Amino acid sequence: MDPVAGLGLGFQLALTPTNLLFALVGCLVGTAIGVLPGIGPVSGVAILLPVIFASRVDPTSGMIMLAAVYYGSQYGGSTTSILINTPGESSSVMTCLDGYAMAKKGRAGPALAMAAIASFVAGTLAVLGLMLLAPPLTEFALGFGPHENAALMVLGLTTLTRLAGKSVLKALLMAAFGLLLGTVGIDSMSGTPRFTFGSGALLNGFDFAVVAIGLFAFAELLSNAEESLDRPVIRTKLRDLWPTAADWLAVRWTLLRATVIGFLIGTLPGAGATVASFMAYAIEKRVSKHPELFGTGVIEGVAAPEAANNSATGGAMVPLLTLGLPSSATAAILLGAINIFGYRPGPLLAIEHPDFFWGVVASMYIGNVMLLILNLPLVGVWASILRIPYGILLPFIVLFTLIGTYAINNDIFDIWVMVAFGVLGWIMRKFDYPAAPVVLALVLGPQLETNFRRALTISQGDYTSFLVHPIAATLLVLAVLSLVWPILVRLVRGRPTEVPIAVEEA
Amino acid sequence: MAVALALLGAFVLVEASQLKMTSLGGGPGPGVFPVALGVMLLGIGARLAPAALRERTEFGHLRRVAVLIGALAAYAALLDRLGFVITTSATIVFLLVAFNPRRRPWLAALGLAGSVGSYALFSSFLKVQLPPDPWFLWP
Repeated sequence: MDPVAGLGLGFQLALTPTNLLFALVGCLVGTAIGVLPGIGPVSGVAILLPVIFASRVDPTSGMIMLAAVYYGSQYGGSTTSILINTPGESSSVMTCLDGYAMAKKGRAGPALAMAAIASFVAGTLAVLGLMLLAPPLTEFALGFGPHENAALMVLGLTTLTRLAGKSVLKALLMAAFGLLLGTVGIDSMSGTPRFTFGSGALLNGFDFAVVAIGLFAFAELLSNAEESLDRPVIRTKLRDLWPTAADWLAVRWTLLRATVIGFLIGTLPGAGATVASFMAYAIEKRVSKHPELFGTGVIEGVAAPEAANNSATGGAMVPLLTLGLPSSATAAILLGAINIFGYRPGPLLAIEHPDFFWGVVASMYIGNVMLLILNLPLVGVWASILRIPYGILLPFIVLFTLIGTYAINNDIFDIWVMVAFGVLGWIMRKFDYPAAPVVLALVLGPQLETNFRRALTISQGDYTSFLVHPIAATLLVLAVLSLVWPILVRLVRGRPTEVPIAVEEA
Repeated sequence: MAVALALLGAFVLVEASQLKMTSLGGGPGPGVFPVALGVMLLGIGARLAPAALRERTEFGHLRRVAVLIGALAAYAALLDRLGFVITTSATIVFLLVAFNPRRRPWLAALGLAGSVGSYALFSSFLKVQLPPDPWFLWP
């Protein structure tokens, strides 16, 4: 289906009252998740997914809502950065620098408005990019067999590992741990139970949503409980919301540059919104005529990271919807969602279920308009959430975490698993072990293993068969390069290189 | 952490060696992937272990962390016996009171209302299956 016809079909679906409502609720919940410091997009999507599934919502509507939560949270993350200098998400860290400086100068209103407008422009352009890039990529990926699929997943895992934490070895160790978790339960190819230790509850393996809620949501709650429960209170007053003519003039190229940077980085597995916002800010500072003013409250310093983190979300949808390859932990949960809804992620998704694919794409246009309309007048409401003491918010976030966990399989064993992974995730944070590779590897692991074993069965156990398939071989070479590249550069140049580091990519 | 994962890798190797390494079609069996992962965990874990043993981290309010973990463990243990409404209300009210030194009666009422309200929203309205209370006090 060509993009124009596809989008027509998509809008027909996305504009139905039910789907508009789902997009609206998703945008509201997403913004709230972004605003609340204790809960991020990974946890939000992981908690909502079982609730949506249990409510027997139509898959397209469910996915529309989950996607809206994903990009809505990027909008919301900026509010806390600007008002209280506390990023709601890791991807809003850069917005703190100039956003909070603007708020201190009494320009919180224009900073918030610019964050919303930059997100809108970038979000919309990114969907356009997704729409244009998806069909050719889908066509290309249609020829993929088990060799290519396995190699693609290896590449996805290695690039994430490369960018997910401060230490590549720690991230690799976490990816291996995630893959191992994926092997628990009955082996789908031979029917042999693995690592179940006679426990019936483990026969179905670890559910990725339970693990994600534990590693992200509960671990975050434990970290917050461990640190101070007192949070800074907003002192800024919101006056004149609209940016001035000078502001508009200053950001006219910033928006475009940051959108392109964000989108391209978003499509890369592992890089995601956080790296995109760091890069966009750095590049904006470099091309600026007055780089020394960055950090003192310039509007480009708000527009660049906010545009980049939103277009990265759109960019992340490209490999997710066309190749079935998630580029971040949140995207991994969305991939799991596509599986749960009974669809097969990958190039066939757009062909077998055009209504699902294009409905979600079209809803992203609508969602971005909704977020713009919602966020400008509702800024005061979101700010008031921040006035609630964290000691009161925390137990209620615990409540939603518990409901989300139980709703996955209606099984109390899952609550034990969630708590255990929460404690593990908290310890991992203490020692700088990234959680994103665990979730990504847990989601991709079973498919990676199946494709790997199918490929070897076809080639009768010949491991060199991966090198005979040109696409698979290229992908594997890229995977190896993504891991050893910094070492090679260091050997050639004789000094260490600086790699942009994502804190905890959502 | 690295030491624990290296030990896990060793354990996985022992366990996985009991699985079949080849399948009937000539391809790899269910044991190949776990063995590879065991080697990876053991190798990288051992490589990181010396540095990991020297790592130190600072801890904040460990009592609050223990309270939160303990409350959720009690929740999981009692949920089956007491049902959703009672267990959840008790846990949320407990956490609200434990984490907030002031206005406790008001917070307790808020916690109760929040738990009952969320049951109504998720179970009755959204049809999410939640554990019923043993006495069927809630329809």
